[in-house]
Order: sequence, then C-alpha cells, then structure tokens
Amino acid sequence: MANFFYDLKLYASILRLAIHTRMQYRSDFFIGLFGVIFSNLANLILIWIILEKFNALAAWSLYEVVLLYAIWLMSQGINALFFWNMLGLENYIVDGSFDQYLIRPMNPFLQFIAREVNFMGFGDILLGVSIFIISYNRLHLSWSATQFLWLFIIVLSGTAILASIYIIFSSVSFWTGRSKSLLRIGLRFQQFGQRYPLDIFGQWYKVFVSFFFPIAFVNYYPLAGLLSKPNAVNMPILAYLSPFVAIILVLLAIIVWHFGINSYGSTGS
Amino acid sequence: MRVLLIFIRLAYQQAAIYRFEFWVRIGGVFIMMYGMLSLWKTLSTQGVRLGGGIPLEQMPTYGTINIIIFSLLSAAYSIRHYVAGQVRSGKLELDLLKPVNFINFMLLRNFGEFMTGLLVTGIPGLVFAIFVLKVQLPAQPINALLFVLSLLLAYLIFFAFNLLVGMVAIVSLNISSYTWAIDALVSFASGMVVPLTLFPDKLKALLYLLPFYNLYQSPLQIYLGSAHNIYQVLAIQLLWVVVLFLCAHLAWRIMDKKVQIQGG
Repeated sequence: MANFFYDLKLYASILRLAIHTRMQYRSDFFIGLFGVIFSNLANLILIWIILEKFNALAAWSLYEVVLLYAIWLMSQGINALFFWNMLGLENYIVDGSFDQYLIRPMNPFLQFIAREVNFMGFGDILLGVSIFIISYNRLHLSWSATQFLWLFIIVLSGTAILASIYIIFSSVSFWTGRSKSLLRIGLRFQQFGQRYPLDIFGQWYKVFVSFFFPIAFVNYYPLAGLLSKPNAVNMPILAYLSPFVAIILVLLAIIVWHFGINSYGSTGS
Repeated sequence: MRVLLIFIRLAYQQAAIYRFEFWVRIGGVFIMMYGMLSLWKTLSTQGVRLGGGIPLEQMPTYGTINIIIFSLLSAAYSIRHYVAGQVRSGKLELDLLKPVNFINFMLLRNFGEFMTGLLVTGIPGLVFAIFVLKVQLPAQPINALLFVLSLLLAYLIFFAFNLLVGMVAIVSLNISSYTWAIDALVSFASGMVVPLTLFPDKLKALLYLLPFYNLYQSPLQIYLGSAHNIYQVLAIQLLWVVVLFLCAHLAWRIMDKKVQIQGG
C-alpha cells in the first residue's frame, strides 16, 4: 500500500510534466477548445432539428434532452482529462513501445495514463456546466443540496463507467494487437447514449445498454430519477444504481487490465 | 473476378486472425442498426409530416442502412492516422522511396481495408437489415446496383478527404486537436445522423456547398429511390471525387517539397 501512495505521488509529478508539454503547444489548445465547442454545438443543433420536427423524443422535451447531454459531457470531460492516453494503447503495443512502462519501478497503469492530459476535457466540462445551467433554468427546476450532491456523485460514477469501458476495450489489444475499431463502435454507441433518451429505442437495445454495455447509467437512469420520470424499463431502482455499476465496472477493468498486462508479450521492433 | 477472390480470401484471413474483433464489430453493427431502426420507428409514429425530400416512412430504412455506410467508410479513417504517424515518426521518407505515386500507394493500401469491410460487415449487415430487421428493399434492382456504385464513390470522397486531413500533420504535427471539429462537421453535414432534407433551408443551402452529404445522404437517396435524378446524384459524387483527388495531388506536391527541405 505504501508503494501505491508513492506511485500516486509519482503520478502527480508525471502529470505535471504532461501539462507542461501540452502548454508548449498553445495554439493546439485553442484549436482543441474551438473543436470541442464546435462539435458539441453541431450535436445540439442536430438534437434541436429532430425535436423541432417531432416535438418530443419519447416523453422528453428539448431541455430535458439537453440536460441528458450536459451530464454526459461532464463525465466525458473528466474522463478525457485523465484517461485520454488509454485510447492510444494499441499504438504502444503494436510498435513495442509499451515495454517502457513495464521496466520502470512504478505501477504501469498510472505511468501510462499520466502520459497525456487532454485539455479538451476542460472544454467539455465547461460546456457541460453551461448548458446544464441553461436547461436547469429553462425547466424551472429547484433541486435541494442533497440532489446536487447526488448529481456530483452521478457525474463521478459516469466518469468511472466511461473510463472503465475505455480501459476494457483498449486492453483487448493486449491479446489481439487491435482495439481501434472496437473503440470506434463503442464511441458510436456512446453518441447515441449522449443524445437520445433510452425510451425511444426498442426493447432489445434497452436491455443491451442497461445490462451488457451499461452506458445508460452514465446519464439516462439517474436523470430520469432526478426528473421523476418513469424510466424505459420501468424499474425505478435503476435510478440509484450508477455508483454500483461504476464500482463493478472499475473492478472488471482492473481485472482485464491485469490479465492483459500479464499476457502481453512484446512485439519487439 | 480474380481480384475479388483475393479480397474475399484476405477478408476471411483477417476475420480468422482477429476473430474476437470480427464478432464484436459485426455484433456492434447489428445492435446499432436495430437501435436506429427502433428510434426512427418510434419517431415516425408521431405522425409529423416532413417537408419534402425523404418521406417519413422511409426514415427507419434510412437510419438502418446508414449504420452500414458508417462501418464501411470508417476504413478511410486509418489513412489519416497512417500519414500523420509516418510524418511524426519520420518514416514517411520510406514511403517516398517507393517507386510508385504516393497517393496511389495510399489508395491501394486503404482500398483493401474498404473491401474487407464490405465483405465482413457490409454484406452481412445488409442481409441482416433486409431479412431480420425487414427494412425496405432498394426501390428498383437498378437502384441496388447504383447504390453500390454510389458507396464506392462515397468511399473515394472520404478517402481523399482523410488523406488531406492527414497531410495537415506535415504542417502542424498534432492532428488530434482539430480532427474532433472535422469529425463533428462530417457527422453534422453528411446526413449521418439526420438527413439534410430536414434542416432549415438556409443551413441546408450552405451545407449543400460542402462535399459531405455525398457520403451518406446521396447513397441512401439512391437506395430509397427518393432522388429526383439518380444519375445527377452520381455525377455530383464523381465531380467531388475528381475535385478532392486533384486537391490531394496538389497538396501532396507542395508537401513533397516541404518534406525534402526539412530533410530526414
């Protein structure tokens, strides 16, 4: 355990280095920020176009859908800040450069994720909070302090869920050397989860994203609970399960990562 | 014919080597198709009339086939990472030493991936969509044939576009910061999420000036038979193929000089 805390301290200092590296390319930061704002604006306009033609997505109004989007964006933002390097794991494995993380006396996982900080995450968080405030006001909500604390826990659980999914999917490349197309499909699913309330999908799809690929716990179930809406599978209890789903997925991610690293044989180069 | 057989063999080998990935990919595509079908079915029961373009009752088919196009076009993504990666690691000069035109070389490299995708997810996806999900068939047999041609043109457009995106790496080194914005623009302006026919008029007029609607909306309009003139749609696609390939060649010529000046 003492070892782990030592590693955490190292993690913090590598992270600082990563931030400094990033700061060298200041124009990249601004282009990235522009990219985040532009891409999310484009998504929101698409939601608006659909809702303008169809009045409601199932029983969800425009600002409720935006709220769904905002919660996702906050979780996604934190995830992008700290776990971004995970998406590139495949490259390190294929060209053999992953070896460097195994020979240093520090937890390879912490070393690996400390390598990069994605500032675009800040853009996501900023935008998420802004559109959250806008739709919160438009919907005339008044949540109690406890509910806001719960929201905070939801966002952190969402972060853990998304990060675990990235870790599990990327870890596949420990065995197969490939994870890109897997991640791309996962990302597309996540876009559906970010944009549309689950009610609108068919029964099998609901079951799939609730129990097999549980992204609906990032935003849909907890928000349906907070807005006191009946959820898509009529199980009110699901509104409170996000933290538990997060814990299970984190454990799963740790196991998969662990087995992955153990079965990793360097490709050499 | 022999070429096709070679591609089928390659696709089979790929699927055999990356068996896990093959199943996840195909499973993912099937589930996404089902998701989109059910989404648009729910929406189209809400009985809102859409003005012009693609009729409401065709939207579930639009959304479902869309997913197949997405999975086919994603082959072209790898080209930008390839070019950017070669630039960053300085290996690009190895490609330059080869006695073939760089762009043709890239195209041949990537086309195999597209064909593999077509065999691994495209055809099974179409079979699943038609026989299990029971989406509409192509409007006429000729539409089916021209749909495939249109897909090929869409791929060429997306290939040339991604090559251009990758080449920017020679100037800016880090492409990941702006590819997000570009990908968002593509998914916004291509009809990948919502067909442009549903957009407000002014925005629609603007987006028709860009090449991206040729990626998703054009092939789908041919499939559904909702285009006024199929051959005009194909002609516009072809025009964009020519324009973007010219751009790529031009950009490459400029880059080529730049790379030489920088040395290895």
